[in-house]
Amino acid sequence: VDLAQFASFFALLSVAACCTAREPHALLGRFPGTDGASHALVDPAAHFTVIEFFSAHCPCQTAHDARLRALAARCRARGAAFVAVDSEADATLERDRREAARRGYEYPILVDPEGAIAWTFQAEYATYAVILDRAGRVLYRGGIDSDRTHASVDATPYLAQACADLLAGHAVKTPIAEVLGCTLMRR
Amino acid sequence: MSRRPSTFAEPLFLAFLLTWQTHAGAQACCAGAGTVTPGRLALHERVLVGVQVKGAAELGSFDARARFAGSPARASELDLEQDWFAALRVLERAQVALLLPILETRRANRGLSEFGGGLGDINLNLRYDFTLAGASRVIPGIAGLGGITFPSGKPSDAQGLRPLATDATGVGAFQGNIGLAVEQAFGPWLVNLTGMVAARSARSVASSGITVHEHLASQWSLLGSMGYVFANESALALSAAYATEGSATIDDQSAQGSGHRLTTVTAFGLLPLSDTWRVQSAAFVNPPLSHSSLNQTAFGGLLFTVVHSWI
Repeated sequence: VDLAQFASFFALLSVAACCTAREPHALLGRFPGTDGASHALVDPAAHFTVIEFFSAHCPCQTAHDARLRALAARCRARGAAFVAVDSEADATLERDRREAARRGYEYPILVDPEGAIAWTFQAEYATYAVILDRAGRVLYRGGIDSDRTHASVDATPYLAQACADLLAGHAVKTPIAEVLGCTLMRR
Repeated sequence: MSRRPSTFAEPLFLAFLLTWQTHAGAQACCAGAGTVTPGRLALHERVLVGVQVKGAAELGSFDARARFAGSPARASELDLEQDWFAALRVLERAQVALLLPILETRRANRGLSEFGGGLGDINLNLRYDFTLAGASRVIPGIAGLGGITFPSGKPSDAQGLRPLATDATGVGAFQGNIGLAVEQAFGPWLVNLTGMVAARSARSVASSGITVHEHLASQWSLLGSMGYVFANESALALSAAYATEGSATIDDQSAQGSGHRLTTVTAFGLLPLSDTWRVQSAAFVNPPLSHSSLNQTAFGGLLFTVVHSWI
């Protein structure tokens, strides 16, 4: 066994893995939504904007659909904006329209197959969420809750709690939380 | 006649233990992990413990010309095994796993019947994921594997074994293994290919006042698997493994005809019970087809595994 050759190969793999990581860039664009409109990421008219990274394939996403629908309804009723973002390489407007309808989302999914939004917010996993203020500053980043694919009654509702803090006029008590979703497939 | 315990069992289990991770609906995630590799931490999991129970019956054996022959009428072997394992994430992309096998054998031959067993060879393994399957359309998941097997079991040439050597549970040598696993998702399908090579330490064997120095040849293993994950995260997978090793060296002389080959085909199923509990089962066989294996006993059997993880 030539261990030196193996070590060299693994070293090359490490370099290759590092080189594939690009720096996130600022995002000022607009993105097509499943509601037929073109959206900027930050809604200046809203108190804050919740962005959830969506995956059409991920069972973690599906397990959280009901909670997301309920949370989005609460937030939007109180003047906050709520959108999902599909930054996976196979994202299409047609597919995400079907997904939004099938899942009963009353908020749009923004289609981002280039992954620009995911790069900006360093999103690696589905169900990762960020909350932005009107200036685009990140107030919260993390998962929806402490569940993965099986919804439990005693889950810690990280995102809902962050929204509740902001709607109550407070700072977010837990601004960073774990995220347990699937790997986002990127280009 | 007793046979040396298969020297292939441990590396193949290591390959199974750490190399395969299912995708759920095209996404590497969650409890779908480890349909083929029960000891591999899934995405976001930090710790897991589990036990795999195995029962296998002898189908026959392959001779030194790779010809298969069914078991003689009055000879039989039943193997039982309980593999206790634990895995710990030590870095975001690195995990270590420990395997403690407990083996029992019931062997009968020409009117003699015997049951024995004990602790097998303990394995410690490391897996590092350079890239994750499903994270890119272009770059597959690539992982490096490494490990060491300790000779904690009793080798078949140990002193004081029972007549049919049912208490032989190990190879008798340290074993270092290194490998590479590549996997990629295609929709709800996941394909994995893993290669491993294991080098063994030399050892001295004393018998009837004579001491010989034995050095088993390096062992090469290749594992290919394909799995499908359903919407509820239950999964099915099929794998084929091929392992080969050359002839051993005895007192610096090649022991011609002592090499081995083994082919194993396994069908797996996984059912996640919750985010932290999952059960798995599998049926495996060393195909009783001449030239598919060499100098090995062929078995067919079942596996059942329970895993508890912490996120």
